[in-house]
Amino acid sequence: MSRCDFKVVLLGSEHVGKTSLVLRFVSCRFNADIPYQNTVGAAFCAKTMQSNGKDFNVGIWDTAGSERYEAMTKIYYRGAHAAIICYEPSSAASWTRLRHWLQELRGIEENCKVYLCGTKKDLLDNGFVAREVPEDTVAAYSQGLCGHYLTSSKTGENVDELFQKIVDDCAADVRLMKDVEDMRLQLQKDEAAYKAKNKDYCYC
Amino acid sequence: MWFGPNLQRSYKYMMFASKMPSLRIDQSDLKCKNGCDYFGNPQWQGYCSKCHREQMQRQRKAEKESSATLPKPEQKKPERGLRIPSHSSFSKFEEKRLRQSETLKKANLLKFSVFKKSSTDDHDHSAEKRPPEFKIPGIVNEGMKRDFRTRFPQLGPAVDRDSRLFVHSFIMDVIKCANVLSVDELSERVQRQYQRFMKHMDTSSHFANVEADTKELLMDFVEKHAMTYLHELPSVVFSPSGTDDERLDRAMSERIQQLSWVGERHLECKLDRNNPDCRQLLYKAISELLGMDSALSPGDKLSRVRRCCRHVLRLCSAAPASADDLLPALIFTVLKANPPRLVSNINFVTRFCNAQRLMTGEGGYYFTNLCCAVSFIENLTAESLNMDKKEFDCYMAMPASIGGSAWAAALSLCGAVREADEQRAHAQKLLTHTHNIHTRAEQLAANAQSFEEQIAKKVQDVLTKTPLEIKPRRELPRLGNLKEINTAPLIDLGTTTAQEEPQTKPEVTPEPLAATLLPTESTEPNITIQPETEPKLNILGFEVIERQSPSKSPQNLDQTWDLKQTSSLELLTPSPLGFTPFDSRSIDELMTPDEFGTDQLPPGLSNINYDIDLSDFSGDNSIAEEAPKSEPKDPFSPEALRKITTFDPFAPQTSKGFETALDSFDEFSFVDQRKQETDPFEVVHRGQDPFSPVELSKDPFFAPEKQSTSILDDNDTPATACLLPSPIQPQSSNKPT
Repeated sequence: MSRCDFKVVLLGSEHVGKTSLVLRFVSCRFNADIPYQNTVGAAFCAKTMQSNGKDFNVGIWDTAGSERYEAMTKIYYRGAHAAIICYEPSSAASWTRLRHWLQELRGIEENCKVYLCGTKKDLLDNGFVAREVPEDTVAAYSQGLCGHYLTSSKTGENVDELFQKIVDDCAADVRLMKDVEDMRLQLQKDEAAYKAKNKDYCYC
Repeated sequence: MWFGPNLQRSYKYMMFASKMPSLRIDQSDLKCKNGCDYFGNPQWQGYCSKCHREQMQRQRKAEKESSATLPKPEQKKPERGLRIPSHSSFSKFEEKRLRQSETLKKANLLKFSVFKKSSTDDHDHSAEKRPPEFKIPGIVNEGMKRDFRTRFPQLGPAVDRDSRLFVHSFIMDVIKCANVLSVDELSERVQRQYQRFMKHMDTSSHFANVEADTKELLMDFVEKHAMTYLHELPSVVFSPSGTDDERLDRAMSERIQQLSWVGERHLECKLDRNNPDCRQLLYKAISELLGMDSALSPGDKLSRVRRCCRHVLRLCSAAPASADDLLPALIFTVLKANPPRLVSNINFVTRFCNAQRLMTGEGGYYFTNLCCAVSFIENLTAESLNMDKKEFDCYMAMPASIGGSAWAAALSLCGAVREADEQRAHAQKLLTHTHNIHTRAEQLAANAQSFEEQIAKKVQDVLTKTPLEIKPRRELPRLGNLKEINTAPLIDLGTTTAQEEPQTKPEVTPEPLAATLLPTESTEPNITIQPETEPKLNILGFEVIERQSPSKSPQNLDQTWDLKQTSSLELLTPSPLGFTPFDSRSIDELMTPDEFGTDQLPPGLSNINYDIDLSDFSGDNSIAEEAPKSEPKDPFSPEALRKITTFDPFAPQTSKGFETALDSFDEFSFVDQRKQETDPFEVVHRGQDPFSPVELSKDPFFAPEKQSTSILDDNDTPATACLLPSPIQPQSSNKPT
């Protein structure tokens, strides 16, 4: 079945490494050399993950990062459960675009959980590139968000952690919703029972 | 001062009136909205007729101006839900408007408007004019039933009934609400219906043991059938009457046509026009996209889009194509495809597809991409193509037929190639088919041929076999005669023509006859046929029949076997068993009679013999019955068997040794044969002969018999006993004694 429990949207400017992130995440199921779904592409990926012993099918929506399609990203994150906004710590430009999405998400999809994800950690660790986005700025921004991760698609560092966190959060949400729904149903039942009971007496 | 409270009160009153328009209607409410003193009409949006016409004209003018860019969909919204079908003047106006806008769809709406239910107060008047309740044709239900059975054979009838009932109520509900609600409300209602069905599946006992996956399939089933039916109704769910989906469709199509000059280089997608594979993939993607319009249910449309996008992804040269590659390529595909009624289709899916599926899942993702592509094309500017504004304008001003001709040519080529491929495949199929038929025909011809030969051979066999028993039996053979018989054939052979002579013994004459008959007919055909037919036996499966023929008539066999014995006293060596297959026997016998009378009996004569033979069969039997009285010659016929059981002398013979048998019997020929054939059997199961001291000492009379029965256990059944010609048979039959 191509149906998914959660919809996770990947946002981020071009060449920031969104597709690599998805590939890294999904292909750990397979041999890393074989691209997921062989030739079909990595635009949409689905993976089954566990949270609290329950299986959830996570659908990951890759988006086109090019600026000319910026106006259309709204269409993508409609109804998303979670969004990952990627940026490159060594590129200030990617960070400025991130702020744009952050604002949009806050305005349009309030229920969507937002995660920040700094990519290409291995380059940063090895000193090939210099950090351009100051850490305290990132920390300040990630205050109101669900999480911030620095990942490396090359080594796989933090990738699984990021997605696991997302699934856990979403699953908790689902549980909460279900509890509320159950309680509501119970209340309805009680009320109906009460009414039915009262009906017996009231023939006026 | 004095007017203060008054004014306030009146103001309050006004507020109140405007807020709650319910029961009391002020006269001012009935006036034209424009404030001219005429009365307004709700059908004319509260204007009087004159003002309304002016308003409409203004609107249309605005529409025309804005049609180059995409017009806003809100323009016609206020009208809907206010029309009353019984209002003749209004419907006339409606018709006029229709003709002006030249839409066929809306004409259908009028036809369909009989089902309309007005939401306004004059519900009571129109009630009696309303046509009878709308009915869903039975064929829909039938189709659903069939589909359900093929798709969910494992589910019970309760589930089937529930789903079909739900689809029915769903369709009725939508049709009822279609004219009352706006499209968005209707879509919401449909979504709620989906949820209702989901809840029903969760709670109902009928669905208790249905798995979650199957439930989703059931959901798809419901959606598919409900929407397939509704899709066919004009202007209910597909480009509904309240929206201007249709106009948007046309605008979109024109827009795409205008943009046909946009090539892969403008969109920065890596496509290779010269690569045939690439062209082929693009062609496939386009044909899927075009197929979206012909798919009826939202699920089918989605799957079309999904397949299209799969092709597009493969089109992108990079191995794991990402969204960065997908979107431009998809935009390009849409531009080249220019799918019909694109906006209507997209709106239909977004409104009436099960939202749960649309929001998540692969189909949803690709559909979202398609939406993006369409919105990109709508808002395409010079900047979005990274082009000079002037150049862009130049291109846009150019007639649509000029631009993009290269790709159009390539794609038409693709179409031709595909068609050629299809034709070729078809031709190939036909070729193999004809080849098959040809081989079959040949096989059939060969079959017929060999069948004919078989029949001929069989007829001959029968002919050669049958004269054996023909005429002779008038006398019963006696013990004393046997010796004469043995010598008789040689004499008889010479006098075969004089068969009527009573002196010749019955069992003698057939033999030479067979011998004489065989050569007459078989000299030419039989010899040539036999080598041919034998290999063909396997092909035809005739061998079974071939084997049956000797065993078919046990009496016959007995007879020949007897004859064999008598005649082969001299030729014991060639066929010691006396159980040689029919053919070989006949060949064996061919040797002796070959010298004489190949010409003696013409085939015609044999036919005459054949006729007589049938009548003689009874006589044959009677002889067989009588014969054993004097001597237990044939141990195979059931009668003989029975007789043997009473007839003692045999049992002691075998068990004691054959010296005694020899002594007691003057017919040493029989004994001799029996001894010869029992030998191999005895070797198999027991050390040695019956006279070996061990056996004698060990066994009383019955012991060896038991052993022999154990060996022959398989043959214990009377039927097999009858068929088995081996002389050991009497032993087993002796058991009870």
